Amino acid sequence: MPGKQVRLDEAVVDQVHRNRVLLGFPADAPDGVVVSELTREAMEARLEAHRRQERARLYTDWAQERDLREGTGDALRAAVEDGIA
Amino acid sequence: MAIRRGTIYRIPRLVIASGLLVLTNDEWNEAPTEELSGALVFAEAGAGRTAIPGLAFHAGQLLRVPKGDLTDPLVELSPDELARVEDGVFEILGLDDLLSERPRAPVAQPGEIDYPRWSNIYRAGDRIGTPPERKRYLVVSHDRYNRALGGAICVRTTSSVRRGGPTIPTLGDGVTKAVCALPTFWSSHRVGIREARPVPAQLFMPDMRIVAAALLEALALPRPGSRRTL
Repeated sequence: MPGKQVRLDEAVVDQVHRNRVLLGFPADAPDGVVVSELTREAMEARLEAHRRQERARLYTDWAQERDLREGTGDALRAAVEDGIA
Repeated sequence: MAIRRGTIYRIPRLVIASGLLVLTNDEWNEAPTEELSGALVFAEAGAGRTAIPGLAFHAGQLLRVPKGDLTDPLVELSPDELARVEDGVFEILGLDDLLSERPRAPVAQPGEIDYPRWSNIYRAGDRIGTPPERKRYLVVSHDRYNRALGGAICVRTTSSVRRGGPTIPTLGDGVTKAVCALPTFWSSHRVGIREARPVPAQLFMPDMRIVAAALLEALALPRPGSRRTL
């Protein structure tokens, strides 16, 4: 698999090598493939966690928005009155 | 009560529907916001409704409701059950076409236009606030759905100076924000189709793609290409 070489902690490589099957990879999967896949998954998980934190901050701010609070309940009330809910 | 996406809740005020399947992401559900959005759930099939496999329920219109109106959780959907509903939402909002590498607008419908049209902005609902005014809404459901249902799924637009974000994006004019976390259905008669229109009165593809991506994240829908195949 083409790619850049990076220096990894030897203990990490040993752990990957020993636990590849437990980690869900074939016993003969190359260390580089396993490390790349685990790194990609870890990055995605961190990015998603970051997105969640950002969303929570954004929503806490928008919860104070008067423009949104003014219409609370109007869509539900209208849907019931219109016989669609 | 902790409210969770993917769970159907009972709402005592509902007359025809059996409950609401919460679709807003859980950060929104946990935030001190007043309302959330989800799909009305019915015991009977009907226009614009998606059958939920394994359950005697059909998911219908997206509706914005006060969190305080949700009472008992009725059932938590499995990933497969939820995926079927997500497919229906994708179709109604045209997300596959909008988010593809070659985005396409939904097909315009022939005949009289007596329904809110996709990508148009109208004033809708009752006059509220100070001073009282009808709020601005952007239509995000496609016109085949809007014509068939006699109404449309809409999101609020606002010129609030609060910081925008991926689910409340700032649009191309640099001022307007679309509150994509709260999509809701409005019947056509509650939308000012024939009234003076706000400015801008319509959005175009670049902005509609931004809104589509925001809806995807706000409703925690799987990204195109990563959706489950049922």
